[in-house]
Amino acid sequence: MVLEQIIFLVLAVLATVSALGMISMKDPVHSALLLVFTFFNLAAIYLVLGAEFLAAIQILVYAGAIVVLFLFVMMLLQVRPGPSFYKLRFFQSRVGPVIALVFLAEVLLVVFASSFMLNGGRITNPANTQAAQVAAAVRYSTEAVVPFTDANGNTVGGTGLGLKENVTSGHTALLGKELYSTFLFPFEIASLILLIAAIGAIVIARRSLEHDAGDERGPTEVGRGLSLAGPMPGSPQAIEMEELDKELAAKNPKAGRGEERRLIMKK
Amino acid sequence: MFSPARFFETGAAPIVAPEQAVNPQTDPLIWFLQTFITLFVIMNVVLVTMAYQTWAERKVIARMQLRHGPNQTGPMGLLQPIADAVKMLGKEFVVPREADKPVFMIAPIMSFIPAVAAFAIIPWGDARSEGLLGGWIRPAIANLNIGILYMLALSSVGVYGIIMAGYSSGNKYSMLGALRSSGQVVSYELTLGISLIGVLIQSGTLNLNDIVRQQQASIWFIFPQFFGFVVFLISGIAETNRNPFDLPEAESELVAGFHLEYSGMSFGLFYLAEYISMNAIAALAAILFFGGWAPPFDIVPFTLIPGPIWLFLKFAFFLFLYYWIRSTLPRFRYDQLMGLAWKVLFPIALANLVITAVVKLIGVHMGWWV
Repeated sequence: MVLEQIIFLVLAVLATVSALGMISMKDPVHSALLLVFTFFNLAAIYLVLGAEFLAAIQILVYAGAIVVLFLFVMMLLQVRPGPSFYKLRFFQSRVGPVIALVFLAEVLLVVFASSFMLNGGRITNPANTQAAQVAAAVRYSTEAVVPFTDANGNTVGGTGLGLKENVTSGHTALLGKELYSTFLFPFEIASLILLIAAIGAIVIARRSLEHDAGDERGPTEVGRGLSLAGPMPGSPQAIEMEELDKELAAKNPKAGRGEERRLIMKK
Repeated sequence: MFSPARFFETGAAPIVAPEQAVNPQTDPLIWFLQTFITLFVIMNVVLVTMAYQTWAERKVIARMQLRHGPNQTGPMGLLQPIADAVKMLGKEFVVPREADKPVFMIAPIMSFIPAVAAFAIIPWGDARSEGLLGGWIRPAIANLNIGILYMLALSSVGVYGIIMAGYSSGNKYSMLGALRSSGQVVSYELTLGISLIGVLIQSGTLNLNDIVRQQQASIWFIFPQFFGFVVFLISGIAETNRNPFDLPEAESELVAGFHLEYSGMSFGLFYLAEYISMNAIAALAAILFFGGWAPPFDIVPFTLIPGPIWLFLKFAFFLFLYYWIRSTLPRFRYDQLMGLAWKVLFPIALANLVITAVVKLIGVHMGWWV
């Protein structure tokens, strides 16, 4: 028990420090890397709690996919270090911290008021589901909980840290069963939301691609980056550009389109 | 009446009474000592295998190109890897002036650790048995129940080393190599993961050792999961940046790619990481599709050979396949590479996944298998 607490304290301190570093770094790439470090520490805390599936998913989804995409975009757009914190706008530098503190107070209130009082100091109520029951049995037993074999010959159960035998815990099958039976409806809703987001992303990407292809004035390679593409049709910049186009066409009708483009760029 | 809850419940495994574990080690001190000894042995095996794998690769490719390969250092050039390592350790570590120093220093380490950590869960014998020397060398460092997820998580983290190296070097070629690499790895990681889900559905577990046991009981998963295997193999090669997918370090276009500015052992770590993650993919292919440590048939001449040797033979076959592909195929163009991932491999893997799931569900309902 003492060992677990020491591990938890080290991980918690590291996670908090790297989270603070993440929001105070000037270089956004450093921020993103510190965010990854925070995710690793959180995953390790999940491991200490015996939630191996959650830990693996934490790394796989957040560290492995989302932050990689952040970094990808940052490198593609060549993001430079931003201004110092106090030079930000009023809302960001003054109101933002206040909102953050209020949110922190809310979270602490909820944690201490509801969960700890209701469940006798435990964060979760282990009486909810079968999976939680098995997990709690594994988690809170002082004996070595031996992994057992189900009808398929697969190993189920074991202690959290794997101290007592060669098999460590993991309740992925139980989790999946719960997800597809008890929590089927919320799961489907989450899938639907993700599907909508995916369709939205495709629609937005397609529109900009079509726009690129229709733009005869500039190069249309995808890899040329955002700065070289023309403005989105219908945007204020595009309207302004059309007006300039007309203006120039009225002034010297002989000049070709490339000439106009150069003149517009000069303006 | 169709009830989704019961529909899915039928296929799920019933929970039966616990049975005694094979090797319950109750003393934490002995447990830790065993872990350290196991770690020491397995790390040495992994690193020595990696060193001699470079020798084997040079020899095999030399033979395929009608050359001799390394043959000066020691008998048959067997001391060449050691000479290379000594040379690498003796070189100077240069940090470019434009470099982002902390990130530049951490990048090779971030590349190396996930590659090595993958070997923590490779079972080289039945992980439920005692292991060698009365349990002092365990059959796997950790017999994780989330084995496949752990491997996928590590392979997705491995890209950080490349991104950090490319970003921090302050060099356009490094940056371009890293950009290519992140696009490539993110795409192929997806096909790699989806190709593994077929195996996962079929075996009903994420534990690598249990997957091997199930193959021992039935057949190697390469037969029912052939398309999954093909997708896995191609994605694995792309994921480890090997030929013909070595675009992040295409020397004709990018000088050397993301590790251009690295010298000495910091370059050596990238080199090690590439080969070790290649080994991990080969070992994983052997375990998931070729029965791992299990002999191909449970009859006498085969069962006499111990499990680790079977695993090594299958692993060596995959390494040979890597060398073979490297010396045969030219490099892909970048758009072809992405097209292959998203337009060919991804639909195949998805179809394989759906068909496997449907067949399993029908089988469970008809009572073909439990």
